Amino acid sequence: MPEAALRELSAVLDSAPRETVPVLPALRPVLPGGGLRPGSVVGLGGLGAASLGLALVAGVSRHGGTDGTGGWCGVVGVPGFGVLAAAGMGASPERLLLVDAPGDRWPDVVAALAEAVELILLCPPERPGAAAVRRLSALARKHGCVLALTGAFARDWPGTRLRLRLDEAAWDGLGDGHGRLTGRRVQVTAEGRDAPGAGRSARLWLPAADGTVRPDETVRRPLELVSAGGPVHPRPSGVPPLVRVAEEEGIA
Amino acid sequence: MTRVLVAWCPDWPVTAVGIDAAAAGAVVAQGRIAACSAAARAAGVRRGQRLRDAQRRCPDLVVRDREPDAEGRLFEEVVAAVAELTPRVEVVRPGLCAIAARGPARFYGGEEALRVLVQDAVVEAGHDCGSGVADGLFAAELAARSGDGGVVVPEGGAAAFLAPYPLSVLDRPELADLLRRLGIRTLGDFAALPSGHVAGRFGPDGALAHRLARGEEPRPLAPVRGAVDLSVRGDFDPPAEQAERVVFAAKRLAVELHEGLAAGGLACVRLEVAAGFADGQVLRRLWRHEGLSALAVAERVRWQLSARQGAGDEAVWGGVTWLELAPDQIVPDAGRQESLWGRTAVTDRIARAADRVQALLGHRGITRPVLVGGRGPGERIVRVPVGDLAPSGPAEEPWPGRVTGPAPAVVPGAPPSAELVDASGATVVVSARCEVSAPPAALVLRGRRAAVTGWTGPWPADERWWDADAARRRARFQVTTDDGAAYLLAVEGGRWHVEAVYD
Repeated sequence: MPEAALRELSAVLDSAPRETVPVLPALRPVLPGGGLRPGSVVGLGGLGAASLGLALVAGVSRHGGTDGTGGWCGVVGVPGFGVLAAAGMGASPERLLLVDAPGDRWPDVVAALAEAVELILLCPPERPGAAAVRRLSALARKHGCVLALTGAFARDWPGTRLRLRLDEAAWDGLGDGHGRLTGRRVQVTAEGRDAPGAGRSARLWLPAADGTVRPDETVRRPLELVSAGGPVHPRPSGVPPLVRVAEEEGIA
Repeated sequence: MTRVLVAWCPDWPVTAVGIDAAAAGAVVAQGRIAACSAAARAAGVRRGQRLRDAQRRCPDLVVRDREPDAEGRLFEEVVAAVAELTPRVEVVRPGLCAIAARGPARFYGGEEALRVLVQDAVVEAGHDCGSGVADGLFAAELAARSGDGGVVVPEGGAAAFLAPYPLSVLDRPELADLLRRLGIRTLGDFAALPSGHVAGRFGPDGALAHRLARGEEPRPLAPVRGAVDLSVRGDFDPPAEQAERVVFAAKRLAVELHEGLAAGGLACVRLEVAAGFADGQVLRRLWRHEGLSALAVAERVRWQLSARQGAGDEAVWGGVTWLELAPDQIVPDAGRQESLWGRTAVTDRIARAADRVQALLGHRGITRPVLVGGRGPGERIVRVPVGDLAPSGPAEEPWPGRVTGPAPAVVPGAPPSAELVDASGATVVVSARCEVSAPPAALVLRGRRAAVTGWTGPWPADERWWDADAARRRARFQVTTDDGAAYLLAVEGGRWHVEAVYD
């Protein structure tokens, strides 16, 4: 009996909304728990990794935290970081710290920033050594700072439990000698141990015509198979549905 | 009426940048002559002239940019020399300082004696000088400039002394021009006008100029005590090999420094930490101070040393022989208001992290982006080092020809070159009339070739054509390729480069 109670309790604890690092509303369906786990490491790769990095930074930097003092992000080793695009997605540029050229001191820079900011977008300039990975992962866990890794060595970071990538990217608005880029439809997929199985995905405008990120509702999601085990909305049999009468509420 | 003695160093901006007094030299500010040496003046160079005209009149003119900082710094020597005679000196501007003459004149045996004494003191300090005594600052300055090294204008004689001077000495060109057209050419003529009418016709500024012309005082002198050196210094013998020892001493020095500041009711905005090494190198860095504790100052010293330790290996380190803490930008200590609800704690947290990164990478190592006005995506962002003031640029003004639509995700600092070719393999060119030679077919970037699936342009941008050095004339294109990427390309002078990537 105590085991059962414990199991019940752990189920309750797991399903309870944990404190997460916020992301843009459009990205919430993709991420398990609707946000990033504090202290976790997120890998970004492939085409569109830069936009994903911008979106993660924008999600954190958009909110000043509960007391208006949070929402700081660090960007280390990404000299081409599109601040304008991040601002378009909702980021506050005044809460960004950019370290464009950390050189070989990048582990020290990340260690210094990890104590202060909520998310660090990091492009390691070299293959990260085991000692640096251990030290920075531990610091990030301790201070609840999310490490978002991008660049050529993003895949060489052991212990990455979540990876984000873009598929089926298609730009809109450009013709043969006319028009202008207005937006891109993508499918964002999250995989890894934090998003088990085939992963979670969502179709998004990244970016939309106004620079924001929003769900792409022009394409219908493929129908999902539902098991034929029982009714979709079970209703206790024999109990009539509760109908409130207007007179009882004293309106009429 | 106060008796004022003025010590005036001729052509101070020229002296300050290190041009020899005998050589023909000039300093320029915004393309015009700000000041010139006597030799240059003899050759026809004048203040306010365009540099080109000045060089035509005097081809061997030595030209430097104006350095207001150096002017102020170097003038400290002159102020110190004058302060030897009488302690309260007012620096009117670099090149001109004033003292109240009555007391010192009595002490040194007369105004003429004092005048000569001041002049000699400054000349002994190594600078040419004129000094004059008169009623009021305005007359005293002219007295210092007149004759050979200045004169003493007797008490009550200021109006008579000023009368023959032209109106240009008032330094009010518009007023002088107007008066000249009214037939008034000297200060004496101007002073003869009834003051009520002058105030009615020329307003408060005209009335002030009228008071000056009559030898009356527009404002009293406001002398300040010369700045006291509050910096503290500690020596290490033998040289401190370990950072711990230096940091420990730094804590003691910081306490000493704070006591010195507090005794004068002062606070400093920034703190300069200088550490001298056994190999002769000096490591200097400015830190924001604004109410740091002694412990926090010691911590900054540690960061500064660790940056040095990390950069080279232990052998270069050699040990610290001395450490100096010097307050910079001293302000009256008005007390600090701590804000509520932990906001300070967070800004402290961010400032601490930023300070640590700056200790590692230098002041420009960590920046904050500021949105400003511009056309290209790279031009609309300025990176300001943390701790510096952000520029207030015109952000919201319309920028015709700005790249619209969603902003690109990658904006490289140095745009990589690329090649945009048409179906026949020839580079696409844009004519002066903005005609594209042929539709682009492929983009070659870092040796990789991708077929163009969509393109648009050219969007011409002809910027700063009035400034030959900064002028840029280019045409922008947006291009998508078959690998799913989109680019903002720019062609400038026939060469293509990737201005931004819509990654």
